[in-house]
Amino acid sequence: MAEVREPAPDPTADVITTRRRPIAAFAALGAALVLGILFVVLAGSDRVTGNETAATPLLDKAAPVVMGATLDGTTFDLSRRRGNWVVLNFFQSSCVPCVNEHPELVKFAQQQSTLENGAELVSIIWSDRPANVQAFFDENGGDWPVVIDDDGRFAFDYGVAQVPETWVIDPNGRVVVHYIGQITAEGLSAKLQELRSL
Amino acid sequence: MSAAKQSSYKRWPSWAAMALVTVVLLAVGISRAAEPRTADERVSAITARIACPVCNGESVADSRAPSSDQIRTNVERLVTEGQLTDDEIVQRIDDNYEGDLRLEPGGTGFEALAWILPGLAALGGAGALAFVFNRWRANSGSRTPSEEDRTLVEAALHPGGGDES
Repeated sequence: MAEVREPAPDPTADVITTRRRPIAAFAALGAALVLGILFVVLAGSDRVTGNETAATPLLDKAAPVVMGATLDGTTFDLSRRRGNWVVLNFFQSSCVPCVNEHPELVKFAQQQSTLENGAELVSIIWSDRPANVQAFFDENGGDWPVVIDDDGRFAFDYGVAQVPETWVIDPNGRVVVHYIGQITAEGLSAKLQELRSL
Repeated sequence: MSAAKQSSYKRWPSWAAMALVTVVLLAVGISRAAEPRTADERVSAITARIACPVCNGESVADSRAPSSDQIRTNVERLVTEGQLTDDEIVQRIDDNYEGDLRLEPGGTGFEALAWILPGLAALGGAGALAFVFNRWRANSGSRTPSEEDRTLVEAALHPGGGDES
């Protein structure tokens, strides 16, 4: 009697399935790795806004020279402010974040004026007409010095690409903090308090 | 003198002419680059090497953004002052601004590959061409009729051989 043999299983079927699985797994792993790296790179980006400090090549270095005419006709010279904390704010009257930030700066200047060693706030005009800035200050308040930067030299030396940007200079004339974007009076005051206590 | 050797001597003038043209063109190019340039030319060259800090893929030379205007104005000032070379001005801008504003790759690390790879590719291409030319020459050499071939052809063309003379 003839023996009935069952058809032998196709050996390639299992091989194909077992080979496909690792390929899919590796592809998924690779995609996840790429996404993970992208996330880390983007999350670690230096360009931050708000009250977070931003990286700058000038950190802990001597602050670049700021000496020039102000809107009220006097001359401001940063080097003569040694011994004081100075906050430099690059400003443009048509920039929305600058306009939104202005009431916070007014508040900050008032807070600092009540302190014994309060910081001195100084605005630097960024790519704007002095007359426009004067009109803005007349309307919105603010009695601190506003330095005219006609040729953009101060912005160039500080590497300011967009406004508002705020820089804190310590009593030794070194750059200690750099902010990109809007700041708040509370955030800036708290940072200064922290720096003074170091 | 063998035919192959004669052929190789015939190629010499063309190689020499090609080498001469290359040397002359390189010399002209280098001397033109070393010529003194006007201040405007320097400003254009420098600002073309720097990326606009707030744009995508635009150089300071092409961009109309305020920050690019400021960089251009200050490059003009630095060029007019005449104390810094082009490279030093580019370096200064790169130092002032956060991030890498250089449009050209650096000379060290991973970026150096951008300078090295084209050279390697050119060398590889020249090597490949030399290899192919040599093979062609070898192949064409094997097709050159030998003395034996010539004798056979001569015998076929003149069956009578030297008896006629």
